[in-house]
Amino acid sequence: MSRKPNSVCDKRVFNELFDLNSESLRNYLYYQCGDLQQAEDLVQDAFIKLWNNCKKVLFEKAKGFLFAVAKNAFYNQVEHQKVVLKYAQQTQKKSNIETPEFQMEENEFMAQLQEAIAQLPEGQREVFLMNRLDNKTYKEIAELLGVSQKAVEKRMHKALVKLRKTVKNI
Amino acid sequence: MFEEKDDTIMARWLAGELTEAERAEFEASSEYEEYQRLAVGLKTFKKPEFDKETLRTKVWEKIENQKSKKVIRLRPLYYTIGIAASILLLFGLFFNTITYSTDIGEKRVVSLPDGTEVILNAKSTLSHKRFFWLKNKKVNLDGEGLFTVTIGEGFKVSTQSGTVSVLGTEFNVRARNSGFELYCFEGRVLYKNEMEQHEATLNAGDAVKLDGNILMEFKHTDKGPLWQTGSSRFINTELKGVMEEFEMYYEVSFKYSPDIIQGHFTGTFVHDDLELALKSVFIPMSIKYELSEDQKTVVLNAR
Repeated sequence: MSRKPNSVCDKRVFNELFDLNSESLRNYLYYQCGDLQQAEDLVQDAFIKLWNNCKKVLFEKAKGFLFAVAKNAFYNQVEHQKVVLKYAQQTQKKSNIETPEFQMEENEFMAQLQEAIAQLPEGQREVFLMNRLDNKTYKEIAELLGVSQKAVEKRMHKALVKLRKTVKNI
Repeated sequence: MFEEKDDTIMARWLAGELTEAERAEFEASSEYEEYQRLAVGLKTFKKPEFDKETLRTKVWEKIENQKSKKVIRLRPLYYTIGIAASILLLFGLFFNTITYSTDIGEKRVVSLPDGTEVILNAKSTLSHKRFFWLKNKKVNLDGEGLFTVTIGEGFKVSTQSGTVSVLGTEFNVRARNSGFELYCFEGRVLYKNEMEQHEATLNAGDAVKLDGNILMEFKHTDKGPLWQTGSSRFINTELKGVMEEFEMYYEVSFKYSPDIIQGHFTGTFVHDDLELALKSVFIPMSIKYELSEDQKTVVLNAR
């Protein structure tokens, strides 16, 4: 059945694109630069640029457009900061069974893991966190970044290997 | 080591894509436990918080704002400057004027490019185009001037009360706020006011005067305008007009209550002696005057 193509210039369509992509775009940028404010500014700029070019960008291509624009803007201006992720405390249920020593050890392990993530190269970290935190499949990430799925899997593999080594050495 | 089997194997393990055989091998390997701990630990990390609606509002605000900006930017600044410069140049060529003016009590002789001589009376302004003037010899006059035109053809004096066209001649034009007067001393001039539909041809000895909107024609026997001899003459003129004239020759201002300047004045005053001039106007009018010490203010009182 032929469906009327969605125009990005339609405010409703534009808002829909915002619903679908704003968070993962913001997180993607955050995983690179470690600054939430900066990431959100770049997201705004990317959506404004999308609106200004709404006649030229097809609905299906909008997602790729947003990521490409944000990435380019990012390379032009961004100062990098350390990525600091919050993690949940161990659940109550567990802490009843386990000893205080074990708990302390666990907390130490989480701090080490966080440090290890911060030390990952950007390319590996963005892929790794998009997969783990935003639950994107390797295929989806590959599309967003405009690289092959194989490349994404390699980066994931390297990230995991590196994390294990870093945590072990700390 | 298992992790070195190929370069994506850990990625596939994390995604749960290993084959049965691979998984069994990995779970038996030395590093399995460490990886398992990593995977569990990773699950406790949280996505950073995200306030979608606030961000959406900001995006729309910025989109709305840039719309109005865009309109202004359509033509770059240098376009505007270029256009402005061209217009200025055109104005310079076609509307550039030469202006001669006189201040209170001042007289000035002006020679125009065609040889015409104009003697400007006090507080008057004469202007004409700088370029191509000889093609259309029109001058603008605000005030009073005695014109001696050598080649009359096409010479015009434009005033707020009409135009005087010259047919070769000597004449005095008085075009002040207080009224219009034209005296012809030699040759012929044509007076025309298109707004009021007045038209008069004046020969030597003729004069016209605008009284309100009425044109009065009369004869005179003067050889030249009286102001040329250094005095002003009035025939049954409102005192207010006399005082306005007074202020053109002397830097004084009058202070009075309106009811004492009701009369009409007939007579003259000189242009070079303030005391004498005041005497000759106000004594006949039975008005007491007081001149301040700095000679700038005259206070009038009924006698």
